[in-house]
Order: sequence, then structure tokens, then C-alpha cells
Amino acid sequence: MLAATLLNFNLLDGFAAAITPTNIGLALVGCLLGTLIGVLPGIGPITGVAILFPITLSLGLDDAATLILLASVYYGSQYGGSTTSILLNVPGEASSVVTTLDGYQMARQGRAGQALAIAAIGSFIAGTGSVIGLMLFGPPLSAVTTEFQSPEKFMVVLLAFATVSSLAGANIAKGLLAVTFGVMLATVGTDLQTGVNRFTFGQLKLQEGMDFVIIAIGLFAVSEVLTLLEDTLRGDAVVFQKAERVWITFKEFTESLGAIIRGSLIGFFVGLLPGTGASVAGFMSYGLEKRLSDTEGTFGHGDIRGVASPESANNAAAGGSLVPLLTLGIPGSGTTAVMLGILISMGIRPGSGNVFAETPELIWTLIASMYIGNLILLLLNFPLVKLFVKILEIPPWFLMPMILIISYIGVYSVNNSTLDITIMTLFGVIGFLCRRLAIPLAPILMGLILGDDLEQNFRRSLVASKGEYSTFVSGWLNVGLLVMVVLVLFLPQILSKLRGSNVKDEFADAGAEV
Amino acid sequence: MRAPGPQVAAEGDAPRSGWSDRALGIVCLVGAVAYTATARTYETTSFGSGPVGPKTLPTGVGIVFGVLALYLIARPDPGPTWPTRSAGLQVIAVVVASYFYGQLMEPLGFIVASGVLAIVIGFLFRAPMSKLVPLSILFPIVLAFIFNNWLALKLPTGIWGGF
Repeated sequence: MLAATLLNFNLLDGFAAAITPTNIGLALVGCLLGTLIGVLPGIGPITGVAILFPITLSLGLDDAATLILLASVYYGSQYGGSTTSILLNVPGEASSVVTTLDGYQMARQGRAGQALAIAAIGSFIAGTGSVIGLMLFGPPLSAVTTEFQSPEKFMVVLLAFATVSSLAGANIAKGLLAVTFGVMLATVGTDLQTGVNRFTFGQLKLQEGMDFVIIAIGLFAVSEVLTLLEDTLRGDAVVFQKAERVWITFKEFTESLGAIIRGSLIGFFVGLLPGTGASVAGFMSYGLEKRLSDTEGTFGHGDIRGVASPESANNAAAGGSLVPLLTLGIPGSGTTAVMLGILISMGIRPGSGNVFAETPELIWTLIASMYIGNLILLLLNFPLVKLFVKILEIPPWFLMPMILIISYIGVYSVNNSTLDITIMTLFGVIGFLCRRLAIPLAPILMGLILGDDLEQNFRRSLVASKGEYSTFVSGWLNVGLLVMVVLVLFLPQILSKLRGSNVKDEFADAGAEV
Repeated sequence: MRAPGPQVAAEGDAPRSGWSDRALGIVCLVGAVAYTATARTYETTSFGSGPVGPKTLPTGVGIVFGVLALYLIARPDPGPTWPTRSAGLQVIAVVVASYFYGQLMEPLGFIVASGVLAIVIGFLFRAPMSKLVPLSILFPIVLAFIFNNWLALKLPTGIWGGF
């Protein structure tokens, strides 16, 4: 009882910190920008957060305000992705792939307004539920991390690598290749313990190491522009449906309420599992809802519950995935990987310490701001959907150079260095090739962000054990983590063999990016 | 490391060769060898480094990378559909334009360099010139105004920075 009171007190403190005029303003701006970004063809949440991070730094905001702004961008762009799923049949990111099934059909029947409304309402209810879940599960799980010594921390980083590798794409070897490449990038620079310059090729600038923001913008933003250029040249034009206004009847709402609640529950618990994230949640929830409620065969033909269910699930999963992210430092998606990078750059290292105990004000402010962001999105989308739809009419020939230019501004603002711009362009090309070769991009970023942690904990473990490698498998916690690594890597493969199909292939077919 | 089996191409797909993945595997293998060999040259200093030095982890990582590259060579996925020659050339043109944009941003200044980049890329996207040119001139000016005045970001002024 006391613990519960304490938790609520923390969240209330978070709300108190989040509800200042400046922060509400930032959340509003973030949601607006995020929705614009999510609606824009070709740029998703990862690109949005990565581009805006360095620009946000230049505003000179404090850490909490920066987090509020970027979290709002994240939420907003997810909602924007749902908008394009419904109106364009183009999912903004993997988590809204399922929404296209019934959402686009509804839009074709002239019911886009209702689809957009239930997506917003479902997301809001799910978001509310997942904040409560986060309050219950976050702090106790986070407390476990105080038991972690260097070998356990090393294993947790390996677990993060395993999950992010198995997340994206059908071929796990490619995920592992990507994450290893990321770790290799992380070893560039001066070794802090011995002062040895590694892989710097005599470049002074490289001694500081690779900046993840520059790599992220190159890998995601620049390569997206290149991919979109090629798609446009091939003439993959899309036809979008119009939405005049967003509205819903009370009957439609009550009809969907069951789907929303089931979707929220599934979403949250799927999100809790490290590495599953929002995209799996949407698929699972839709599948279950279809089996449960599709008595007249209306699913796939514009059933409102077919929108309510995955939209609630992916939003709840985004909340649920904050649990492994904030407790163990294991991100569930590319965007949360970027968020982790941002947290680390602020000196907050989930998984290496109990962030709920060490920096409660920041963590609870972040959680509170996500809740406020949900509310803002709900209020924002009803009146503004017509404006967002207009964005879709911006021609790619104008949009693409502008995305590039804004990316360059972001990168340039980090160090005022043109070498950074060259590195970003290089990683744009690498990202483009990776997309073609079905190499997932998020693991590269993960490897880069966590590579240093991996090495430091590796070295500390071996110093403590006087060079005995058996330290990594001593103790039940270590063995348990190792078993999880193996399960995460090989279980999906075994399951898909048994079932004869692979859910993740469906993501790949839908052209989604995880 | 035991790697999982290859993914079978969907039924009805035209058989595609695995040369793309093999080429990638070879590039990665060369990279792995070069990386590991370089890592081996980092000597552990006499104090403060303990049983593991600056080369231990990179060596391991390089070996893992090499093994994964070998796996890719041995069990490649069916290749992707690559861009046609003309689309490929246009993608390369955008990359080259972006590279020079980075190089010329400081001497030319943000507004001029951005305007030129927008026009070049718009041209590649076959934009109507009557709209492209005015928008490409106007938008960088608006951006520069926002970033310089509202966001306290100093963009290179070059030959014409304005504001």
C-alpha cells in the first residue's frame, strides 16, 4: 500500500513537472511536428526524432523539456503513421501495417473520419492503460538491476543486441551482422582506459568517436530520401482517400470499446517482452479480435473494430515497451533505440542502474508527458485532420530536398563540422544499400549506442575475475540472461518453422521498417 | 555460432540469384579481416589495463563479423530488385549533389547552397521548373530565418547569409 502511494506520488510529481506552460507548449509543438512527420511520405518516427534531436539541443532546453518534446514527436509521428495507413494504405511504420487492412477499406467507403476518430480514441485509452501498467511494473523490475554486476550488465547488452537483431527482417544473421557492424563503429575513437586511438586513421575528429545522431540521420533520413527517389522514378504512385472531418457516433464507439480494451491489454503485455514492440502487438491483437468478433466476415472489409484493435494494441505496446527500455535498456523498436541513445547522451543509462530510483524526476516527467501527449493528440487530430491531409499533397520533388536540407542543418549543428556531413552522406548510402539487401538499420544504431557499454562491462568483468571468462556464466542471473539471449535469437526461427509461416515476412512484404 | 536456416523465397517468385548477398558477404569479410588485423596492432600498455586491453573486444567482434559474412556467402538470400540503370544513376546524382552540398555549405553559405541543392534534386525528380525555382529560392530563406532567429542555430552565412 505504501509502495503504491509512493508510486502515485512520483507520477503526480511528474505531472507537476510536465504541466508547466513551457512544457505543455513543447508537447503541443512536438505532437504537431510529430504528426506532420508521420504523415509525410517517406519519413517515419525514427527519422523525425533523429533529425529533431540535435536541433532540440540547440534550443538550450533542460533534459526534461528535451525529453518531453522528443517523446511528443514520437507519439505524434506514430499517430501520423496511422493517418496515412487509413487514408493512403501506406503504413508510416511497421506498427501501423495492420491498420491498413480495415482502415483503408473504411476510407474507401467514405468512413475515413470514423476510422481516424477510433484510432485516436483507441490510442488514448490504450495510452492511459499503459501508463498505469508502467507505474506497476517499471519500478520493481528496475530495482532488480541494482543486483547487476559487470558480467550481468554485459549480458543485458547482449540481450539487447539479440532482441534488436531478431526484431527486423526474416534473416536473423543479417540482424546480427548489422549489430556487429554497429559495435565496430562504436570502437572508433580514443580508448578511454589506455588512451590508444583506435580506427581513427589519423583523423583528429574521429578520436571523439562516432556520434550516433550523425549516423542515425544518415542511415534513416538520407537513405529514405534515396529510396523514395527511386520509388518515385519507378512510378509507385499512391491514391489517397479524403477525410473531411473526424467524427464518430456513440454506437460506433461502444461497438469498439471491447476491441480497444482487449487490444490495450494484449499490446501492453506484448510490449513488456523485450524485443517484440508495437508491430507484433498490432498483428496479434488484430488476429485475436478477428477470431473473437468477426462473426459476419466483415474484418478486412472496413470493420471499425479492425482499426480499433491494432491501434490500441500498438499504442499500449509502445507504453509497455518502455518497461524493458527504462529498466534494462532494451529497446523494442528503432525509435526507442534512438530514444535510448538520447537518454544515454543525457547521462541516463537504463539497465546500468535503477533509473526509477536515481533520476525519478526525469523518468516520471517523461511518462507524464507521454500521457499528456496522448491527450493533446486526441484534441489536436479532430480539428486538424484536414490540414494533415493537405501535407500529403506536397510533391516529392519539393519534400525530398527539404528533408535533406533539414537533416544537414541538424548534423551541422552538432559540431559545425563538414566532415560530419560527409560521414552522414556516406551512411545515407550505406543505409540505402542495407534497405535493398534487407539488412535492418535499427541494429546498427543499437550496436553503436551500446557498444561502449558492452566493452566497458566486458573489461571490468575480466579485471574482476582476473581474466577468467567463466565469470560470464557464474550465477543464476547470468545463466538466466544467457538463456534469454539464446531464446530470443532462435525461438522465433523454430516457431516459424513449426507454423510454416513467419509473421515477420508479412512485415517485410508490407515494406515496413521496424 | 550456429546460424539459422535460410529463408525460402515465396512461392511464385521468379528465382533470383544470391549474388547480392554474396557480394555483401565478401565486402564484409574483407572489412572483418582488415578490422581485426588493425585491432591486433593496438598494444596493451604496461599499466592500468588489466587482463584485457584495447584489442581484446575488437578482435572478438571482428571475428564474429567475419563468421557472419562467411555465413552470408554460404547461404545467401535471393537478391533484391535493384534500381534500373537510369534510376540508379539518379540516386548516385543525388548522393554526389549531397556530398558537394556539404562541402560548399561553408564557402557559399546556407541559403545559396540549399537553393542550388533543391533545384538540382527537383530537376532529378522532374519537377515543373516554374514552381521549382521560386520555391527553391524562397524556402531556404525561410528556413535560415527560422533557424537563425528563433532556434539560435548559426548557419554558415557564406556569400549571402542574410539576417
